[in-house]
Amino acid sequence: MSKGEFLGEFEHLVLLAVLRLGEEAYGMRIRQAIEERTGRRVVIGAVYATLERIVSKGYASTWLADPTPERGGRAKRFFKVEPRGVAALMRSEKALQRMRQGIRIARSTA
Amino acid sequence: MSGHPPQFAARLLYFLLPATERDAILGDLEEEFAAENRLSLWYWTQAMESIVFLIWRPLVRQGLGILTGGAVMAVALVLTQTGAKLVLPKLPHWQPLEFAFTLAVVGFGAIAASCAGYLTACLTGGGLLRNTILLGMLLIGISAYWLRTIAGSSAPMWYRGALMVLILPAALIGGHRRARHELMLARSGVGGRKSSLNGN
Repeated sequence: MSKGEFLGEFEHLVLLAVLRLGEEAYGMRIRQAIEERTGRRVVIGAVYATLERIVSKGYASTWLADPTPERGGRAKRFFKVEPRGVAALMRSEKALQRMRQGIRIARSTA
Repeated sequence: MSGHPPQFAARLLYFLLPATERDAILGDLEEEFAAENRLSLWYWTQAMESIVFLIWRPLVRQGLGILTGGAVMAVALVLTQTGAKLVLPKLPHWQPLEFAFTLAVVGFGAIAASCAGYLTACLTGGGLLRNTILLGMLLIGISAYWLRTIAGSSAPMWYRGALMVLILPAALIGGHRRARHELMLARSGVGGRKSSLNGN
């Protein structure tokens, strides 16, 4: 299996956020979801750069909605995780599980 | 706190962002700025760091990819020259073989340009045609410099012309082969790129 088939940490977070948000998955909501759940500061440009990579790998699809007034007449770009994205997530989760097996991570060791 | 996002930051983003992503990003920032009562500093920070992620990094990546392709061609030309200097004088009666040798060098140059095109397409990802044409122009420049300064006047005219004419199509073929390779990987479900935001 090549390196490109595994998800980077931020790709992993973005895909999970898109899955979690379902039909409400667009840039701002994805950024906020990651920030709220992980506590790390997230830049909208990083989210879009990662989403572009995810879409180019076929892990997610994207489409533009109609413009709305609260956004100054600008359209939202929505995202949806595709079956290949789900498979990539499962692959990464399994790899992490296998790496964790037999290891007890304690604060005292850090 | 203010009612409208900083106009200068918004205009800067408008001019710098790709047209395909402009509306989505500016709309997201404007929506969150208003809905969450964000500070102007927050907007500026998001705008400036987004420029780094969406414009500066892809530019650096594209530049490095093209330069790497150029380095492949330069190394191939230097190896050709060194090989010719080392091998040819040791061959008895090599002059009758000069035409065949020069032809082989042109072929080798075209293969090197094709490899450079493939490598650049690997490293830069999207924008295949634009990147390969930029690479082709760099390769032509490198080859012209090499022909003028290193190969010298001994190189026949047809050789110079053939090398110059072949480089760009060879680089394009290399880039195209990479694109086909990625398509095959995508179809087999192994990886590769299917589409991009810029393509939508």
